[in-house]
Amino acid sequence: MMRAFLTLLAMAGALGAAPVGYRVIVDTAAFAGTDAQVEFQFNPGGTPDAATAEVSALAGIASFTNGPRTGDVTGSNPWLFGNSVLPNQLFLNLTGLGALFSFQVVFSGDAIDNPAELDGTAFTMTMRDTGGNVLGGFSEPSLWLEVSGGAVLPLMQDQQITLSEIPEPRAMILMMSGLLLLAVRRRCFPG
Amino acid sequence: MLSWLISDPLEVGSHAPEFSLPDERGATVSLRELRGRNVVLVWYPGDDTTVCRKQLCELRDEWAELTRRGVAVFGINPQSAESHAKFRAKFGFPFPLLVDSGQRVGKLYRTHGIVAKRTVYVIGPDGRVRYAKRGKPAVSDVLELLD
Repeated sequence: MMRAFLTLLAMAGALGAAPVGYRVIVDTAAFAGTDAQVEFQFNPGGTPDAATAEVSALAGIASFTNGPRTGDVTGSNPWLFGNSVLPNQLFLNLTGLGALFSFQVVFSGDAIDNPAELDGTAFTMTMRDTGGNVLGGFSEPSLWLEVSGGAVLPLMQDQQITLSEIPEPRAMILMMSGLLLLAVRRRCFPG
Repeated sequence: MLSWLISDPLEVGSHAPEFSLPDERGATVSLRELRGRNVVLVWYPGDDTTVCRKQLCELRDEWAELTRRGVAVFGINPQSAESHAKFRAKFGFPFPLLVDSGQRVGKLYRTHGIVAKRTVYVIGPDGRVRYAKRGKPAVSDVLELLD
C-alpha cells in the first residue's frame, strides 16, 4: 500500500510538471552554412506580475556575437530579460547556422509563482537574415510564448519550430522526493 | 480553474463609454462622432513591439475588407504621439493610433495596467459593445462579426 502511494507520488510529480520553460529547436536546414540574426523580445502585457526570462544554451551555430539591446536585458549567455519596462529587445548575430538552431528559455517570477492576472508577458523570437529581414519561410514573430496565470503557453510558432517542455523545479523536487522515499522504503523494508 | 485571474473587458451589449482622444497627428477622435458606424478599438501594449506589430499589421493587411464594411479602426495605448507617428509611418498603418495619456480611457474600457492590456473591442453603430476580447483574436473573427 505504502509502495503504491509513493509510486503515485512520484508519478504525480512527473505528470503534473507544468512547463516553465522550453528548449526551442528551429529547423534551419534551408539556411545551413549561412549567417543570420535572432531577435528576442520580452514585453509586459498589462499586469503587475514581474517575470524574467533567461535565454541560454545556444546550439547549432558556429558562433554568435551580441547585437543591439534595448530595455531590461542583461548578461550574455545566459541573457536575462525583465518585464519592468517596454520594450525589452535583444539581437544576436549568428554565424554558421547548422541544420538545427536551438536555445533554452526559462521563466520565473510572480507571473509564474504568484500570478495576479492572466494578461501576461509575451516572449517572442524572430529569425532574421543579416540585413534584419525576416528569414524566408519564417513569420514575425517566429515564436510567441505567453507567460501568465502561473504558466507559459505557446500562442504561436512557425512549423519549423519544435518545443520541448522544461518542467518546473518544484514539480521535479516532488517527483524526486517520491522516488527517494520509494528507495528508502525498499532499503529499509526489502521485499 | 483560473477564472479568478481573469479581468474581463466590458460586457457585450453594454454601452461603450464615450471618449475623445488625440491621434498621432493631434486630430481629435470622438466616439460620439462615429455613431452609425462599426468601430474597432485595438488596445495594444507597445509601439513597435513584436506582437503588437503583428496584430496591427494583420489589420492593415485586411484593410480592403475592413473598409468595404465601412469600419473605423483605431489602435490605442498611452504612448506618445511621436512614438505612435513613428510606428504608424514605419508599417504604413492606414488607421490612426490614439494617445490615451494616463490610460484615462483605458480605465473606462478595463484595459489599463502597467501597460495597456491587449484587448479588441467592436462598438456597434448604436454605441453598444458588440465584441470584446482579450489577446489577439483573428481579424477574420472581427470580419465575420461585421458581415
